[in-house]
Amino acid sequence: MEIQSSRSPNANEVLRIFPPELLTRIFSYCSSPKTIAHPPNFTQTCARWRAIAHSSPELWRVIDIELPPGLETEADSSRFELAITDWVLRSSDLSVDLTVYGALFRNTDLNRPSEFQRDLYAKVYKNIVMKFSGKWRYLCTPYAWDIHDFLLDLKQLTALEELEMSAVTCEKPATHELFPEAPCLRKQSFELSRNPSMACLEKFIPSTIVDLNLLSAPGVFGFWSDFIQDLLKLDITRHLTHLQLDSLGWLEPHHLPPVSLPELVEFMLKGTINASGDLLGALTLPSLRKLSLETSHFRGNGDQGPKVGVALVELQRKSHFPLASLSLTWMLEEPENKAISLDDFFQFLSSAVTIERLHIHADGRTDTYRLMEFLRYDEQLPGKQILPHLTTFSATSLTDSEDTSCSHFMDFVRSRWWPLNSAPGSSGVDKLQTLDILACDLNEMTKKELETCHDEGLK
Amino acid sequence: MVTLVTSDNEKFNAEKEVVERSVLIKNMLEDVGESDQPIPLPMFLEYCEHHRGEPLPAPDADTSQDDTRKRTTDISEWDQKFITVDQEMLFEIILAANYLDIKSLLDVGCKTVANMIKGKTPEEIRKLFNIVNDFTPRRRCAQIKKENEWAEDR
Repeated sequence: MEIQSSRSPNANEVLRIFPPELLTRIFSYCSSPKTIAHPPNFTQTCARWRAIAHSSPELWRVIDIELPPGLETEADSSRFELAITDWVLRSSDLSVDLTVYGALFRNTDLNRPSEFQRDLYAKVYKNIVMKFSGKWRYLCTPYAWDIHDFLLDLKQLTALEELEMSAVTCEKPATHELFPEAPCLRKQSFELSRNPSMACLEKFIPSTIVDLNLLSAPGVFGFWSDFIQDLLKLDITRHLTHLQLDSLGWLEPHHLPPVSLPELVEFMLKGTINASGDLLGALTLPSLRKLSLETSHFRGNGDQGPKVGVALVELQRKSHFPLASLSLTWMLEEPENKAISLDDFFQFLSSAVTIERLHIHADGRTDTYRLMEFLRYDEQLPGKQILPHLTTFSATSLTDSEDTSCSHFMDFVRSRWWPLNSAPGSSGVDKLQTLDILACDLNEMTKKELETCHDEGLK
Repeated sequence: MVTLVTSDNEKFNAEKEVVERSVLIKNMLEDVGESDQPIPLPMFLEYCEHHRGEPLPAPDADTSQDDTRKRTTDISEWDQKFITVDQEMLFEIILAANYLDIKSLLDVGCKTVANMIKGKTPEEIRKLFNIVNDFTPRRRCAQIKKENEWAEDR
């Protein structure tokens, strides 16, 4: 049995005999072709490379379209459409991810395009979306509201798995009854820049959706309580596994009727303190595994007080969820703007024993001493056997630099982590696998000890 | 143990677990069964030894739906050092890894060449790899110009 290796006279000779599939593999690792505004360099190197690249469908599975500076006449738009068509055809029978940037997102020219140019552009991208409607796996399209007869005129989006739409205005409800047939569509994201109404939105959410992301402008331009109420009335929410609401905008407390989302596994919520508290207090989420909460940075306007913490404790009491991951951003601030008091937070964590990953993003005003002391595990004290399965802890902008004893941060680490080949520091607690510290103001002693832990194997 | 022989007749002994990172050799060993016959060896033993024990990629790893859309050119420090060789050797390693069906080594080689191509003009690529520009002027005018009509930096 022999495997001979032959030596070629020079590198160029070897490269010349590279089989097409190897060149395609190399090209696939180059900056993937994404836009006709940047033709890939390997298609313009030599005839062989060009032919191989153009006949490799897997290289042409992503295309971004934006208004080119040279689009000025009907003839231009025909050639532009043809160039995009050529690109899509190269993908053969594979599905394609298409992103259409809005006419105002042209990044090469600060002068805004004329109305005529925008019309030309809109016509081209509508034609492309319609012509290849069965090819799109991912579709990101702007200004759907201005043209909401467009997507709904499509008969089929057979390959579509993920749809992202932006809308500047939302003035009139959609008149069409049915979303195009999209049997594979699971994920939808809507970017809504003004207070939208559910009457506009609901026609665009088919029953196959399990992952819904609603993004609005921040602050008081965020979602209002009537929008959220209407959303929670929709049947599709009962089947959601992932939900993102960014962000809730009301400032005064509102009562929301109780609702259960039985299949929700991941929930990302950003909003004012009152709005977040109102919503969390109304929900029951028995399957929740991952929760991310973020406060919109408001000062005053009555939007303060530890209302989110109270709602969180109540949510856990009602749901008994198997939470594995919790992320809090700007929630534990002290003293005047906290959304969750440390007492409520500790009460919540005491019963959330399934948590494996905890992320706290502070802004330097959280009481780090109390927090870390609480998170320290102590096998001797039943009341201190908190979060026994915690394996990842990450912290942003915590500070302990004013603590001269400087032990509480390391006491937390040492209670949950021990060097390789040494006995566990505590029994009954899982070993910390990852400690992520970002922009934290830690004192020198803590930093030095953390470096030692890192040298001893702490990731 | 398996005995491997280079094309210039140098012999190496290696553990079966190490050389079986090559799907080709694994299949060959399965085909011939236990044998005292040595297996001639291209340069790959060091790589397989270093990556011994790591999980082998799934047979259908290349055909996953989103594979080409999510590829990155990150290379580990050790692999980067290993693959720092002259161009001719680099291309031979890629051909050998392809032939021997060692996907991880093939990826390291392809990523390295891709990193050499990234950010270069077609002319710079030709110069780097000594490739002849075989586009006829007319063809270049028609096709490349058309392709570049919508380029931002035309």
